[in-house]
Amino acid sequence: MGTIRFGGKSGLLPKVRPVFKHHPVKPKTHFELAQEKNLEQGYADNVPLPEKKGFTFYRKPKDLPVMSVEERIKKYIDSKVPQDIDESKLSENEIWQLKRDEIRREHLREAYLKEFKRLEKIDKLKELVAHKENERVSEIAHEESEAYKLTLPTVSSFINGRMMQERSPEQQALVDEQRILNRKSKQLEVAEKRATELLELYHSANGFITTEEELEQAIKEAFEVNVSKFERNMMNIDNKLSGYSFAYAQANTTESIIFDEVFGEIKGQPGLEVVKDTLDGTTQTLKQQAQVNLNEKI
Amino acid sequence: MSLVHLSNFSAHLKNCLRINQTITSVPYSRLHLQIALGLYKEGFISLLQRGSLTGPDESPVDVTPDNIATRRLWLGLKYRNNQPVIRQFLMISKPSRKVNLTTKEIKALASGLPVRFILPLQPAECIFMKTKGDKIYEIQEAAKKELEGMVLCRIR
Repeated sequence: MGTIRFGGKSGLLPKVRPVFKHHPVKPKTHFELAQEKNLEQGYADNVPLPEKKGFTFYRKPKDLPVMSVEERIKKYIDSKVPQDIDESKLSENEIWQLKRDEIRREHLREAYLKEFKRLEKIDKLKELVAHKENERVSEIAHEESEAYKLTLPTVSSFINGRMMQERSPEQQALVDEQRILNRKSKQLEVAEKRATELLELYHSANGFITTEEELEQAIKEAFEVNVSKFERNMMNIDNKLSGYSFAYAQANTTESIIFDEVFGEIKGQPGLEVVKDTLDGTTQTLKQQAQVNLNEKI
Repeated sequence: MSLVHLSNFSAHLKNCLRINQTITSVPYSRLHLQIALGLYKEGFISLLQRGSLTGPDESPVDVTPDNIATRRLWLGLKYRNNQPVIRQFLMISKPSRKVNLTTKEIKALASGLPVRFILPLQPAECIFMKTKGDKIYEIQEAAKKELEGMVLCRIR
């Protein structure tokens, strides 16, 4: 046993024929107009239309002329009532035909009015449904009231806006400048350090052995037993071991370091600043200025 | 918007709740702010305040590129009868399993039905979901607004 075809009915019922088939009975409501606003039919723009005799293609559905129920009744019922009929001349059969026609007309009138009422009812229901749907949509889109927002912590405003205040172009320009300055001063520091090291190397090059005579002298000094020097060294070592001159030696070293730092020297030799001043003539200018001042005082 | 950051947030809160801490701070980011605001609205936390690494701000401080590194969000944790109010904080979506639900599924979930592997919503439980515009909503609100998106985590 399979399922019952057509739900147990003997067959498909015919489609219900509309009573007002060709012309609408009332103009479209604003709701219907809004619904059909974007309705399009036929062929898209820029598509060549086919040739069809006696037929016009419309992009938008064409509104049919409205024929109200009253007009309809007038046109199809009242105007078709036979006029000036003398019943005495008619046969009994013809009189019955007339009565039958009269009854049919009344039925049709009744059908028109009833159908119109039914359509009106459907329209009202449709409008009600649409109104409810509109309300639902607007409720979804509804934003919280100002009072609700004000009573909430302000964090919601942070979420919607920016989390951080960006720098203004002027502030950003300042930061950029500062960054460039930092980089350049760091580079300068490195360059100065390297120059100082080079200068230190230059100063210590004084003691380098470069000629044969100097080499021989150095060898001689290294291997010749110098009694006084040997004794001095011995005494130094003894002092260091007993800790006698340790503090003195350390103070001496510290002093020389401070001295170097203060005067910008490298182990008693001219430092980088002194060399720079001499090279660009600042020292010379200073000396001249000092001389002039001295002369003025004298 | 990162699920990893959200997982870290969840783990951090759970750690703090285990040692009955009353106040804690999380990094200052939009995601943390959104989730924390959601928790605040649902009554899971008692305080939501901006602050620095040292503590909540006493007076409002603007967030600028100069102080962004020290900015934090301070959250107050709730306890009831010596038990934390947040009993469970589970991730639904993971980086390896992102759960995107349609409006219909969101509505089903909000009305107490199981959806795919997601167990039904329990009483006093809330689920947070994220829309495409990176906005975070509670599941009931999302169902009411007919939204769709990724469900993130469930808290009760």
